[in-house]
Amino acid sequence: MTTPLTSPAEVTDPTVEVRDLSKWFGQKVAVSGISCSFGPGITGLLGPNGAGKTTLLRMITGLLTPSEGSVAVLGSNPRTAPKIYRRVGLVPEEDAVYTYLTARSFCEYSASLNGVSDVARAATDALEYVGMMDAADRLIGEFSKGMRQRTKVAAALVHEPDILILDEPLNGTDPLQRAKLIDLFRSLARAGHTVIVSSHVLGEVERMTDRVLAMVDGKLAAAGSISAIRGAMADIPYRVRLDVDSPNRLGAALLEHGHVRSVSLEGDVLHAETTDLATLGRALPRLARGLDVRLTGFQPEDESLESVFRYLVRRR
Amino acid sequence: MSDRGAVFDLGYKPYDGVRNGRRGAIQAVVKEGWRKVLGLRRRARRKVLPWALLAIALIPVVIYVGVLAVTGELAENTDVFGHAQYFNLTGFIAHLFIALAAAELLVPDRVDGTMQVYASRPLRTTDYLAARAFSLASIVFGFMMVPQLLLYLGEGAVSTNGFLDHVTGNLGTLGDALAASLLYVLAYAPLAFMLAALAGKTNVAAALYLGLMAMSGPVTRGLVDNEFEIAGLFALDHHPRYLRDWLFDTSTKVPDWIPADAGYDEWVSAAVIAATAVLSAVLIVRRYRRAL
Repeated sequence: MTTPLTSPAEVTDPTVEVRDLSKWFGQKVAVSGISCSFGPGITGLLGPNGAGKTTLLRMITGLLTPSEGSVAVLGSNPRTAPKIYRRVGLVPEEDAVYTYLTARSFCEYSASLNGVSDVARAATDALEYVGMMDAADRLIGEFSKGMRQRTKVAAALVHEPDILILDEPLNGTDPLQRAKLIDLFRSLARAGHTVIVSSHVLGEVERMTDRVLAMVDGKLAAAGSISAIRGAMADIPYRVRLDVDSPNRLGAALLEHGHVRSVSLEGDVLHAETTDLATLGRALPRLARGLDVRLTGFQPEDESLESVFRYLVRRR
Repeated sequence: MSDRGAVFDLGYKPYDGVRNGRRGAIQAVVKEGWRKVLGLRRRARRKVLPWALLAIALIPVVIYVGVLAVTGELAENTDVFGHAQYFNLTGFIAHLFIALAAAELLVPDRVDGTMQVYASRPLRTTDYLAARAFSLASIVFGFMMVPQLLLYLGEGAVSTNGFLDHVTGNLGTLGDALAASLLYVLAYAPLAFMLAALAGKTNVAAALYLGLMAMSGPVTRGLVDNEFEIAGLFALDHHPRYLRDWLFDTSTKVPDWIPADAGYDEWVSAAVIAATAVLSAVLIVRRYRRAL
C-alpha cells in the first residue's frame, strides 16, 4: 500500500497508512477523505473538538470500521488482523480501565493480553516509565485523572509496542507529569517508535514534535512542520514584533516597503505585518542604520503552532 | 579524579522477554472473568453475593452430612436427599448465581467502555466471548458440582462399607452428577449470556434471565395442559431437569416435567438444549460484531 511521497501528509517509511478514509454516522460526516501516513517519530494530530481526531484514531486502531477508504497498520488491516496489536499500544481518550484493579494489576493484565510472559517485570518497568511506582499497588478507582492517564499510558507501553497511539494523553496531568510524559514520548520516538499523539493543547504538541497533521471539520487542513505550514499560508501576512527605541520613525519607514501591509504600536513595541518575512529580516538592519534607530529585537509572533492553528480554523 | 563522563538515557527500555501466543491472552481473560464473578482480590462487598450464594447452596448438604455423621448411617430413602434431588434443592440459588455471573461478565465491559481494553489487543471478538463464556461455564459447573462432591464424599465418610469402598463403588453416581452439572451449564449459561449481551445494565440482564426462567414453566404448562403440546419445547427450565432424572434413572418417580407431559422423549430435550445454546451463541456473536 506504500505510495510515493507526494504530500507533506506522507512519510517515506510509513508504519501506518491511511487512504481516502471517510467515516460518517448517519448524516454526520466525522472524517472525510483523509489520506496520510505515519512513521517513526512523533506526529501530532491536532484539531478542535469535533474535528474528527478521535474517529480517525479509532479507525487506525481498528475500533471503528471505515465507511470508505482503508487503513493499513504495519501492512495489515487492523479490523481483520488483530495480531498486529502486539505491536500497537493505544491510550484511548476514555477511562478504559478497571477501577477495581490496582495500577500494577491492570498493567499486568494488559501485559497478559498482549502475550508478555514476564508480566510482573513488564508492568514494573512500564509503571516506572510513567512515574507511577509509588501508587502501583493502589486501586485505580482511587486515582486522580492524571494518575489514571499515566496508568493508561503504562498499560499501553507494557508490551513494548512499535506504534503508540495516544488520544489526548496529557489530559488531567499536572505540569511536572506532562513534562515527564513528553520526555517519555520523545524517548520512544528517538528509539524509532511511531508515536501518534492527538491533542487540542497546542503548546504540548509543539513541545513534543515539529510534525503535525491538523484536522478541521473531518478533513486534513494542513500537514508538515509548523514553520512549513505557516510558510504555505501565503495569503496570511506574518506578524512581527520589533523592539526599537524610535518605533514611530521605523514604522513610517516600513510602510514604504511593498511587502509590509501594516504597522501598529503597542506602547513602545512596534508590530508589523509582512507578506515576505525573509525580505523584511534582510532589510531591517540597513533600514535601522539609515534612520539611526536602535533595533534590539525582531521576533516573528505567529509562527507558533497556536497561531498557525488559529489561522487554519479561521479559514473554514 | 577521572575527567570521563557519560549521560545515560533513562528513557524507554524495550521488553525482551518471551511472548505468549493468543492462547495466553485468552487465558488471561478467563482468569479475569473468575476474579470478576467471584470478587477475588476485590473489595469485600463484591465477594459477599457470590460466596453467600455458594454458602447457601452448600448449607443443605452440610446439614445432611452432619446428620449422617451423628446418626452414623446413610438415609435409606434417597428420594428426599439424593444426588438428583439436590439439583432441585439448589435450583433457584443456581439460577440467581448464573444470572448475576453472566451479567457481571458481559455488561460492565460494554457499558463502562472497557471493551477497548480487549478491542485494542491481539484478540478477536470471538476470543473474548469464548473466554468469557468459559469463565461462566466453569464457574457455574463448579457451583453445581461442589455440593454434589461434598455429598458424595460425605456419604462415603459415614458409609458402613468404608470410605474408599463407597467412593470407588459409586463412581457411576459421581459420573451422573458430573453429566447433570454439564447439562445444567449447557442449558442455562448460554441463555443468561445471551440476555447479558443484549441488556444495558447488569440488574436488567439478571432480571431478564430470572424472569424468563420463572415464566417459561407456568406459561408452557398452561399451554401444554390445553393440548398445545409444542409449547413443551419452550419449557426452558424443565429440559435439563427432565434429562437429569433420566440420567439418574429417577424419571419414573418424578414424572411431571413439561416436555414429558407434552409427549417429548429425552432426546428432544437434549436437542432443544443444544439448539438453544447454538442460537444463543450466534446471537451473542452477531451482537458483539455490531458493537465493536
